[in-house]
Amino acid sequence: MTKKEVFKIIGFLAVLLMALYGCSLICFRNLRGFNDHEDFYNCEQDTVDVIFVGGSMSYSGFSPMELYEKYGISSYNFGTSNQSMLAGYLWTMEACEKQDVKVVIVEAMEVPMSHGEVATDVRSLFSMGMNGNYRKLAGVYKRNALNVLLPVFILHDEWRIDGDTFRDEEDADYLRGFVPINSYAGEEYRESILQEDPEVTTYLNFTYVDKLREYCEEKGIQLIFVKTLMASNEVNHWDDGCHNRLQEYTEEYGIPFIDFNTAEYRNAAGLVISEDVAADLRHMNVDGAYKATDYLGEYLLDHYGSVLRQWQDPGLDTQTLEGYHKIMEGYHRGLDEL
Amino acid sequence: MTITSFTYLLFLAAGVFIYYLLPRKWQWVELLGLSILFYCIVATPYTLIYILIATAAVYFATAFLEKGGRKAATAGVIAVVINAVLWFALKGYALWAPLFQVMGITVKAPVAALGMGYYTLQAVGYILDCYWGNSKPLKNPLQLLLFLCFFPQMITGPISRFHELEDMYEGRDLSYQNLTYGAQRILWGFFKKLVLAERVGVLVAAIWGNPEQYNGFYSWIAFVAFPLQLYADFSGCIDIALGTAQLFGIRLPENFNSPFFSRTTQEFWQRWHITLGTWTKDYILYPVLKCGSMQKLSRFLQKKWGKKSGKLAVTAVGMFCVWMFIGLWHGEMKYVVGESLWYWILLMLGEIFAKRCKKWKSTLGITGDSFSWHLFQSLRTFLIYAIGIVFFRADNLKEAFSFLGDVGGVLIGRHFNPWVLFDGSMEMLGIGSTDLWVIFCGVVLLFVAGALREKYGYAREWVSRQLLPFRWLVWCGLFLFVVLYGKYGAQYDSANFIYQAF
Repeated sequence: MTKKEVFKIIGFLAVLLMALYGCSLICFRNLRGFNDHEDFYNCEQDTVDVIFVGGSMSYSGFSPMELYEKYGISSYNFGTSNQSMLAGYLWTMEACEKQDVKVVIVEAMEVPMSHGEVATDVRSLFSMGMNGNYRKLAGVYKRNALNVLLPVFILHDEWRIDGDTFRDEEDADYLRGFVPINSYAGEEYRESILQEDPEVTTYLNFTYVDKLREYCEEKGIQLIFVKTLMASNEVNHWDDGCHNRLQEYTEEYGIPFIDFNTAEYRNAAGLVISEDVAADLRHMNVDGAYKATDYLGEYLLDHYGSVLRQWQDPGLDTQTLEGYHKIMEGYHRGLDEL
Repeated sequence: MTITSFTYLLFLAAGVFIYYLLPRKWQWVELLGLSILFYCIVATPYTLIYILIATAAVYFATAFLEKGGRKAATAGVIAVVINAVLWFALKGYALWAPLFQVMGITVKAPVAALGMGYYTLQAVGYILDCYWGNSKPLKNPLQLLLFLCFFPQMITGPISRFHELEDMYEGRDLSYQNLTYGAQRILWGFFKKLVLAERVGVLVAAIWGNPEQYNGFYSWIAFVAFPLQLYADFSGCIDIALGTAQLFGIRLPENFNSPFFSRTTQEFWQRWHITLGTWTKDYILYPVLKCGSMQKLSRFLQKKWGKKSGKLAVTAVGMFCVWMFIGLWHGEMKYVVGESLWYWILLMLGEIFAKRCKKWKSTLGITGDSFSWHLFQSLRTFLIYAIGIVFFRADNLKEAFSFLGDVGGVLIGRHFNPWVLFDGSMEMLGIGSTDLWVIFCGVVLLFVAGALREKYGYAREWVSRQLLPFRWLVWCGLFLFVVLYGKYGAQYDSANFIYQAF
């Protein structure tokens, strides 16, 4: 083989690598989805006290703007689709770099979702939309850095350009990570998914729960686990086993755990399965999200009122608040029409 | 490890790197080592013993053959019988197990060696070649073992002849052309398997899996899609095998030559699974036609029915033997009764009516070279092939006939539902609209490559004559297409190659 031929091969491989990198960037951009949290980076420094992490149940279940308007608590919802505990942990660290976070609320579905599969973890990492250069994630995620550097190999099936791939820019700017859903589970679903059987247990992977707990302890941040309301066990993976195991864990470390699927918290928040769960039977709809947020607002003020700042003077400008009200009116109207 | 996995590519890269570092006379030893390692990783390791038995039988038989005499012929027959019996016992389970079932004995399916159907034919072909004096027996049994278990051809062939591979023991120098052509061929194989076959397979499996729900035009979709899936799957694996061998500087025989461009069924079988076709022609058809009793029969029939009819009748007997053998080689009676019989009847009808067809053509004023006539002939050949291949896909004859009934029923208005093609129903079959577009683009790409091959020889040779930016664009584009739209990775369990079963 001549020198020229060797150079040709090297040149071709270099072009190929660049093309792969380009595709990875597109892939990454697409996966950031409709909830990419760019808005978080626009928040002024040290103005966010509470953050939510978790999967779609988090971003559809807690409204930071409601928390702000009613209780004066400034928060941000970092929910992203299928977020694993690894991603939740990374988001918490990212948020704490920019903000003086006092409370981290974890939507508990993250825990059974975190089974440690490389593909799920990397998918979760890339769907979290963390700002800045994603190469730094390769350093965090040492197990499979190549997949992080060239995510196109692991995320290839997600590579498509359609309407659903991109976020609704206008809505997202006013909601601080909240994604409302306007549909009902309907009258058919009235029973709780939990049977309140203390004997049932399920294996849960606590690797990144432990890391998050230790991180919060180190930083003096209060950690809370919350499970949003769901309907029908046929489509959900949250059951007595998950509840009992997490209950055991939180009791061991003195962490509050609010499961809206138990009669105690459901009644306290005034949640009704048929009215407050969406038609997919997994997520809470906009009404459910407001009730859960209201409950959490009161809970936060009762228990951590001394450390949380009450934001009297709106840190948010009038345009943002008006935009938010307009969007929410649309969602409520949509729900009323059903 | 499958040959479409990242691990295989690493295995290959390491193998090629070491191969070209070694002195030429030792390169074949590395190939043997790689082949055994590959076998132990991919297949059940203990089944390697079957290959060793076959190799030993062939080695001793061919050693006797060189000495000549009556003992040589006996040794050759014994070696052929050992290979045939081993194959029948291990791969022909579906053929003999029913006999035991009749006697009330349940026998578990034995674990056969990987690529047994392929290396057994190679072994038998090699014995016969040595017996006929076409090849010289190998002195080194390890070289014979390499000929039988050379790893690229262990999954789905091709079925190589000794004279095609005998120079692989001489070693090779690193060549730019071998490296690039080999890599390009592997990439093309990946495209066929991961992008096309795996995607179309989802569609076909959904329809075949639920024939009561998916009838009418759905059956037509599966009817047309399965030949495409089989072609993409089988020829994709062959491309990977040929590309792999070329990286080591070894040229394996071609197994496909754009079969869907064929105008007749006869031509189709000269372009599809070519190595099996030439093997059966050389080792079954010609010996059958040349044997004494057939010669006598030929003379007798020529006297009785005339020269042409007599010859045709004898050819029909020879072809019948070939097709029955092909059916049996696939290992199940459904192949023999359905597929083989169907193609044999069609081929014979083609021979009988060839002259009349020519007359009809000239009466109707059909120009043989017109595009439309070529298209009609190709579609007709495809249809004939697709009907036969239904027996390949179905679990049994009943299912095959029921499926064909459904396909035919559409033509008489039963389950007439053409709207399923346009109303989004296709997305209920497990693939989305993006997948349908990918399939469409993939088929267009296959067609373009086939057309280039028809006109200019190998498509990649045509590409290699273009300007550098165009060449890089083509190969980078294909690579990205496979990376982005291939079905691989942790979320997918890429199916085995269909022909791996034989």
